[in-house]
Amino acid sequence: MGSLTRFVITRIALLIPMIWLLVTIVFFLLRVLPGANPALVMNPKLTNEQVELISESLGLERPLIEQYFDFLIKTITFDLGVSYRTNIDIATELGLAFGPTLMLSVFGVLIGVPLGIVMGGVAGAHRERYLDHIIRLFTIGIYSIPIFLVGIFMQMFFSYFIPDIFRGNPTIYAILKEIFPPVSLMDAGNTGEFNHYTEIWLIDTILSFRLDLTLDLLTHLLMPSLALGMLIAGVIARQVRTNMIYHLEQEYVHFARARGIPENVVKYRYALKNSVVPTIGLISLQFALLLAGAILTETTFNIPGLGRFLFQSLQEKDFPAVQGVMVLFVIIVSIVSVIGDVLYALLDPRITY
Amino acid sequence: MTSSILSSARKTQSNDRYYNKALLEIKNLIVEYPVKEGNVRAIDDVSLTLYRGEVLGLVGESGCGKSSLGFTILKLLKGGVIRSGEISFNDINLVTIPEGEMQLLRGPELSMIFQASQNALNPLQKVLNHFIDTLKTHYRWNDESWQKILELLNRLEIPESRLEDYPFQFSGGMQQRIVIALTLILNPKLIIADEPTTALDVLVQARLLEILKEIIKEYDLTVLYITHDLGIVAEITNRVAIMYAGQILEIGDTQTIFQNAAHPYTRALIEAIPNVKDEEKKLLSFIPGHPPDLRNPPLICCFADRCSYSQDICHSKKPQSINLNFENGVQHKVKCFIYDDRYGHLFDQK
Ligand SMILES: Nc1ncnc2c1ncn2[C@@H]1O[C@H](COP(=O)(O)OP(=O)(O)OP(=O)(O)O)[C@@H](O)[C@H]1O
Ligand SMILES: [Mg+2]
Repeated sequence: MGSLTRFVITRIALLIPMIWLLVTIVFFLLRVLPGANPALVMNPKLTNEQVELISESLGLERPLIEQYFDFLIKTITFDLGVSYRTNIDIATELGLAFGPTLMLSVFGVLIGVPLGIVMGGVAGAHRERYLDHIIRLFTIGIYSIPIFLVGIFMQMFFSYFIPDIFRGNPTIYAILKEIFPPVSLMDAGNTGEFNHYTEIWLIDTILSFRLDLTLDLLTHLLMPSLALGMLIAGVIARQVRTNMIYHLEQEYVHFARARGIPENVVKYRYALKNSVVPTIGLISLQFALLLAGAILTETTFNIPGLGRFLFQSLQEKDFPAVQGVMVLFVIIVSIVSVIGDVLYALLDPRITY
Repeated sequence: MTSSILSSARKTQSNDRYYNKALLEIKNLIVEYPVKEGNVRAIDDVSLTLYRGEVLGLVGESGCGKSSLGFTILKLLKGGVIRSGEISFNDINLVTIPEGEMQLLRGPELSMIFQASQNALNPLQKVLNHFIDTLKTHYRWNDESWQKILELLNRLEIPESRLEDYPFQFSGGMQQRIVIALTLILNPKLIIADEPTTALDVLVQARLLEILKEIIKEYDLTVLYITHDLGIVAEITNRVAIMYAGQILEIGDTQTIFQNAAHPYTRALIEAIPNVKDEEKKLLSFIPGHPPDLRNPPLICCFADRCSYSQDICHSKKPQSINLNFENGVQHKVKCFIYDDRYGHLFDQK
């Protein structure tokens, strides 16, 4: 496995130029694109003096190249500037917002990936039959309905419609309201009740021995994770189904049957494994799409994560904050693509490295 | 060359060893693939008996239904439907048997060596695990299982050290050996070998054929050997069935077929074998025309359009199977009006 170690190290080493390239693109895009120029898009409510002050603090009158190197050096030291909107160091803001997004993404993936694999596998194995049609209807729906609408429907249904049915029974009503809170990550006032060691609240509440708060957090995460999970499941299921149909026609499947290997093993161990492995590459490639999904989900459910932070910063034309989030996204997407590549190489012996 | 002549001589002598106990009996089998424009009749009224311990060649042009027949016997038709007929294997009716029971027969009772292809092995599975899965499906795993695997690897000249490799790391010839070993590991009573050597180069093919021949003899296997290569038929089979447009036009002892072919199509096929030494036959002869469309075939002789002997009768009726008698006593059947007592006179003028 010496060559694998070498592959992993090379891939990680390549991360640095990759991130550098992407960060450079972000920098120039934000300055060159019409409408993206910070001098032009600054909050219209600011007075001229204020605009000048900000321009000066950003060094916007200096030559672009000079600004660029300044930006690079500051980025390396995690100095991303100060947010106009909150007046807080952007690196600190991102540190706070990272935890909720991480939790949401992890739960979304934990729900979406297995669900997508199972749905795609079953649909492919039942091609053009009843189950296939149902699953395809679902995946097409997920594709065509924007995820924030899915979120809003879920809120309406689980947080209001279902509890309202049980309005006559106060206990059930209260429990349902407790399980399906419509917004935010915790009930009001709870966020100050535990020690913020890591800002990943799931870990923090457990470390603070406040499992009641962990439970509160999990109930708040349930619906947004489901919404994001559905999006992920839809994307994966489509791909797995297509691969499954291809693999079930392959000679090795028929030859396995000719040796009496049971149908379930042939379909769900041989063909499905062959169908899932290449989707790992797809998942890491489409990770940007999932981030977009997370942004919309956070906004719908008012979760204080990176997505909501980006959304609010955009609304307020908080230029350094937007740039900071983009830089962080670039780093995340790059790291995920490396993890995807390494996983793929581990699972598919035909990948040479 | 001499060795192959000798071996065919031996075969003729030991003929009576075969042809008494049937292992597989197919009667009036019709198989169709439903398609948009109707039905493709891939197997058209085929009757065939396979006797214990024999190698029966199944020869025919591409698309005549050879693989379909193999898949039908295994009940692994991709999209095809058995319209009528019987397949009895060891007195079990395979046409009506439930799929659950059929799955248990596949492997240890009847199995198939696939048409040589790079895709017959699971790309994500190590070769060793192919063997383990196959054995564990049907037997409890024990020390003997290991011995069995090693013995077969040895017989097929597959290096044991490569068991941990993945299929893509093997050459085509080696993959085909692995496919054969995977089929033999369960000791099937009946093996359908679907062109197991066709995709390989001549030398690899020759060696593999040699090994196959030894194994068939040693393990006393019953084999339906599908090929379109008459050279291989001469090498390895006891009897041969000539298939055309989904039908068996002639079936009989291999030597008799080569020396005394009855059906005009069989004769044309044998004529078409290129012979390097024979000056006159250096030019490849071929049969003019092409096989008929298998969609909704008319009830006439399927070879009539291409046959140089054909008369009006051939274009108006479907010939029935006729028994011919040759001195070696092996059953010989042909589907041609020339040999039909009622119509034979129509061809006399020719
Ligand atoms: N799944 C299918 N659907 C429709 N028609 C099919 C299907 N499989 C085979 N056929 C048709 O059935 C006929 C017989 O095909 P088959 O594969 O059995 O021929 P073959 O004799 O094995 O040919 P080859 O020597 O090329 O392997 C062909 O005309 C083919 O087009
Ligand atoms: Mg074939």
